[in-house]
Amino acid sequence: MIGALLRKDLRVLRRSPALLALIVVYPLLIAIGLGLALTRDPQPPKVAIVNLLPKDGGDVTIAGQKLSIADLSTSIAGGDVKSLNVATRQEAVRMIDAGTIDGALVIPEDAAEKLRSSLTSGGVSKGPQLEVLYRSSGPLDGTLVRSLIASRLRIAERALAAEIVRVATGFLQILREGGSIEILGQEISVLGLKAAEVIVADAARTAPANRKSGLEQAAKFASLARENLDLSDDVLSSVAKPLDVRETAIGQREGRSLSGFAVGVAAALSLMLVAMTLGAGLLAGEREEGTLRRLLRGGRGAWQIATAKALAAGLVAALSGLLLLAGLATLGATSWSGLPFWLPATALGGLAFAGFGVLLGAVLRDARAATLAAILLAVPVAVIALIPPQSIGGAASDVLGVVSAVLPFAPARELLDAAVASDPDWLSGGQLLAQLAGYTAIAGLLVRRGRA
Amino acid sequence: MAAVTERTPAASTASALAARGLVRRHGGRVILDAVDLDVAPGERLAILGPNGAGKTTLLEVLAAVQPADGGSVTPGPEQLGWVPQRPALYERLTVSENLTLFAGLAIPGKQEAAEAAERALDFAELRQRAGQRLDRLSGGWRQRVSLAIGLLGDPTCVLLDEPHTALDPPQRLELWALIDRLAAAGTAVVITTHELHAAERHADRVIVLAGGKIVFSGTPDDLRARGGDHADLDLAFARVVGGEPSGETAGAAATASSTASTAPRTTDGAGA
Repeated sequence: MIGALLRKDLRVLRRSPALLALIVVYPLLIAIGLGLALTRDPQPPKVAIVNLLPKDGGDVTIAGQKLSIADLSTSIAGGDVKSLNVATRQEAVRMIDAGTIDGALVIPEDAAEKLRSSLTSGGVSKGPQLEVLYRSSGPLDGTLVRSLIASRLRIAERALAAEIVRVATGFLQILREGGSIEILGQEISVLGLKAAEVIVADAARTAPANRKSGLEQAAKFASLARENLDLSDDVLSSVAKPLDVRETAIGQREGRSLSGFAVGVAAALSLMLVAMTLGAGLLAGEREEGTLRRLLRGGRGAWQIATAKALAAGLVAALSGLLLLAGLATLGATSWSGLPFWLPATALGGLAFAGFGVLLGAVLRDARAATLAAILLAVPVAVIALIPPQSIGGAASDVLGVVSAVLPFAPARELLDAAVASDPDWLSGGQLLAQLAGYTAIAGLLVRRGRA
Repeated sequence: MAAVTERTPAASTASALAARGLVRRHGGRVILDAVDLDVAPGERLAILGPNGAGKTTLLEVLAAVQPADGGSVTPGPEQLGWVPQRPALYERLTVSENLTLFAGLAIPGKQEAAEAAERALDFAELRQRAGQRLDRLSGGWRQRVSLAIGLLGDPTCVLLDEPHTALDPPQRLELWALIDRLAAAGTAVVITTHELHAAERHADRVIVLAGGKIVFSGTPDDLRARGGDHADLDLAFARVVGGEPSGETAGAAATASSTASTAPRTTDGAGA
């Protein structure tokens, strides 16, 4: 009976061109809208700069050239990051928790000192460690800020490294060729290894025999030193990595990407609307047309009818969900690598939503009322599932948790989220199957009781 | 309340349909009050009655569309055809697809179901319309399809609920002809109608239902005889429904209604 009714419903749907067009066009519209949103540049996040350097201790002088660590904040700000100055790390953490800012960069008070030590030790002692703070209570937070700060930091670090190399190679050039450098405000003339080699060689030619050997050795050393210092530019460039960065997440990470979460929500919403309205409409429509009484004659098949309706609506919704995901993948908002997981995820999600829709159809009996109820209920069902229970607290949080567990949106969203990330989520899949069984069983009972 | 209707196979009785003590209540109101009914094979029985008399409820309880609150029906629903007042078909499916679907649901075996659908298609003279969708057919053709579905599974008795509603006169005539042919083939027909004169022409027997009880049972001529000196059928019906005794048949009518049962009568198709 289920197979015959399923084939009939799919045939009827196929012959409803307006409905079919809606089912195809709707997910594609969502895919285009969401795809464009996810692939466009985001709004610049707000990032705090916590500069703990002493007021006059933020500079490092190498060979008379000044490098400013505090200038890092200028490098980080601008373009894709909005920056503001915050006095302490604790204040920055509090602001991230409150959602006032999206992240922070902490420059420790010993940053200049550590950079100086690192440079004077030739890289033996470690450079300063900067800290990036970001909010990560869910996949909507964190990822973007982290990557933006990291990329800006890399730019700043490259600029600092280039400056260090430039200063150091200039100093080495003076050592090789001769010139002047400023030390403690005094201009000092440096002979240079090249001139020293010539002087020593001349001296060696006219020197007494007992001193000639020593002077020739000194000239040879000067020559060797000059030739080998030619290589030091490359060595300096390759080892220059003056900064170390530590990341600290404020809040608990979920481990899913921002786009994965958004794609999961969009797919769940699409499945929910199509499956619930179809499920509700198919069953209530059957009653309205009078055909339900024919099917139920003799008290047969109420549960089979409810199941067939859920299967028909669920499969059509799954098709719609697959179209949405394919559209998003085509636009580059998600990866095709999750393709093998899409089908079970959209099928299970679609079936559970369809079961819920069929239940609405059994309760409300009138096709238009049932369809309208499915649309009106979709918004609160999604909202309930998307509110983090900890953000409410108390008994309301428990109630919200229970309601969310009974309704299919949360597990469907989690399953789709996992599918997009190419992960299986057996728990959510099982929960959706249990919900489908529960909804169709109750719908079957209501249909049987209401046959009179 | 749970259904307590008892049903036994038709083979155990000589009747095409037998109902005993049928009771149906709704919201504390008695819709059917201990109705007894017997219909012989090939008999055409018309159920008359004012609106709200319980005609549709009686048919739906007989067809097991509604559960009864008491009484028994023989045979089971699988041996009774039911043609509801509204065609209740799938508008976006073709005639053939509708028949195949309901045959598949009613008859075990794919081959048997397909053959039953073909037979029904031929009997209702729907072959030429087999590939047409229901939403492109007139009311008369839809009613034919509905009747054809009622015939699936070769029922011993077909129950038709006001099938002529919304049909134009030529379509009504065609449907009556089909019903006559069905009875001639040996299938009992029980039909509810407001068409007194058509019932007089086509039914072997009429019963009048009022207030959930059978208040008259007899031939169309018996009913007409209750219409006074001019034997007016409409007047006769009004008198029966109103409980007004009249003339020479008053005693016979009183007997039928007091027992609330009908005597099956074998028909030879005469009077069609």
